[in-house]
Amino acid sequence: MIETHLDQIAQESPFSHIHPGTKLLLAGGSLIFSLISPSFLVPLISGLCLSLTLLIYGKIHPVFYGKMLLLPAVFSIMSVLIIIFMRGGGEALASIPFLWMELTITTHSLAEGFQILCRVFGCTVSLYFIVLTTPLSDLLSSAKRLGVPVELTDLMMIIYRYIFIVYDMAVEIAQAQKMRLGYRRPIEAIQSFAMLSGVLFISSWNAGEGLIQAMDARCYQGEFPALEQPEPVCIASFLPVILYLIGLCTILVLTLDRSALHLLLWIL
Amino acid sequence: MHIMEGFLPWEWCLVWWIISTPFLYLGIIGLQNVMKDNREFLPLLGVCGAFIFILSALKLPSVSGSSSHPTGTGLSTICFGVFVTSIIASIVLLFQALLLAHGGLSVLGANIFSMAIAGPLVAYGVYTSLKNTSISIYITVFLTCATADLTTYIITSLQLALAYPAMVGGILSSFIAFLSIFAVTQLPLAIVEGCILALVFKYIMQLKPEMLIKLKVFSEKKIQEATSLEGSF
Repeated sequence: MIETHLDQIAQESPFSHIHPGTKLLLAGGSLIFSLISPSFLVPLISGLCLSLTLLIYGKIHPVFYGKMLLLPAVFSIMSVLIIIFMRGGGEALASIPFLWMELTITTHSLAEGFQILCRVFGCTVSLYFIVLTTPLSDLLSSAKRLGVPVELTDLMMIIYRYIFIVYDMAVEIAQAQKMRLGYRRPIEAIQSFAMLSGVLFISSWNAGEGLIQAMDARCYQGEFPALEQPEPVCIASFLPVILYLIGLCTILVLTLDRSALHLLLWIL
Repeated sequence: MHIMEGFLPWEWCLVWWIISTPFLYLGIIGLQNVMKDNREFLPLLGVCGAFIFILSALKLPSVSGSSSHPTGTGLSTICFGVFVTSIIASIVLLFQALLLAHGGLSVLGANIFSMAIAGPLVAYGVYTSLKNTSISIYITVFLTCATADLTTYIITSLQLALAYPAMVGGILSSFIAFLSIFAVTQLPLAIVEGCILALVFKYIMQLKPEMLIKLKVFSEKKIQEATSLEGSF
């Protein structure tokens, strides 16, 4: 189930008044630098800076933020463990017998594992920065301005509006089923879940037909015209973002090895 | 399960975005054409997209002890076809990243290819080959949905294996390793999801069969046969 409405947090964020372009530039830039960096330093610094910004200035509760980071942390540690044992190179550090196999950890695989963990951290925090500071309606308006087809943005808008209606319906049905011990045994759970999904599909369809009638009554011509009044780009927020990205880019260039630096210069 | 944000190297993120883009473009063209013919399609599709999002956010009862989420793409493929499903599933993946923090933006291309393109494509092949045969509607739905689910996980394993080939055995060895890890949970889950969506079809046929006829999912005759067979039990 959806435990928390992240979009609500974004709407109440102290950063909600900042132009979405500025926030997307900060998060997008950090994400790209974290992704392309061959060193663990850039994603680690980026992740820590954005996390501190979210916790101190974004007023995100540390426990909630910690819980948010826990899920990707568990998955990434499990996946990185597989990569550490599969990849190789360098000197062998340890060898663990497992069933008929001999699992070996090498210096290179350990360094690669740590690099992946840092990259996941840096990129995930960049994503969380967008999620926790920019409401979806702002993102959709930005997508429209960037030239994303109207049909697609309108479809996204309808899906977004109806997610919460269908979700509330699902929660009510699931609670009623639980009260009647609908999830007591595995077979009953499957039947209850299928009944819930079937009723939801039919209700969604009926809601869609109702929406068509409502939109027809408001002269729907295949497009949703919306009055958009975006906040102007403010130099007080834009300048620190640019300075931060320049700093991150400098660390990235300094940590590049010679061959990567030559490649970068060649591209430039 | 989707590939998490930042897990793939940037080269592979780019490759999967490049591979997914033509399919998404075809999906948008398909959506625009459908909208030209029938403008009522957009709100209906939007509400069904919300349903698929919620379906994929609900915890699925799992046989293996763990819990996971249905992809919902099998049901969408049967109802709306491959290209429209690719668009709906891509939006669902984007919303999962932005509203639930599942998956991510850099790996969205890879996740779109596995869940919104490859899964529905293979599932659609199964659905069209079984649709007009004497095989029961429920078995057709079960096989289509289970195939969509399994294909998604096979492609995800392949994506991970290509990005991280094993030192000994290369891509194949890595692919087998990722596939075997996923198989422990995903094989039972695909079967459970197939069963659940077959039961969903049963409820839809009981309560609103005209919906399936309108969508041309199965012929009227086949739906009548299935409902009459059910009544005789």
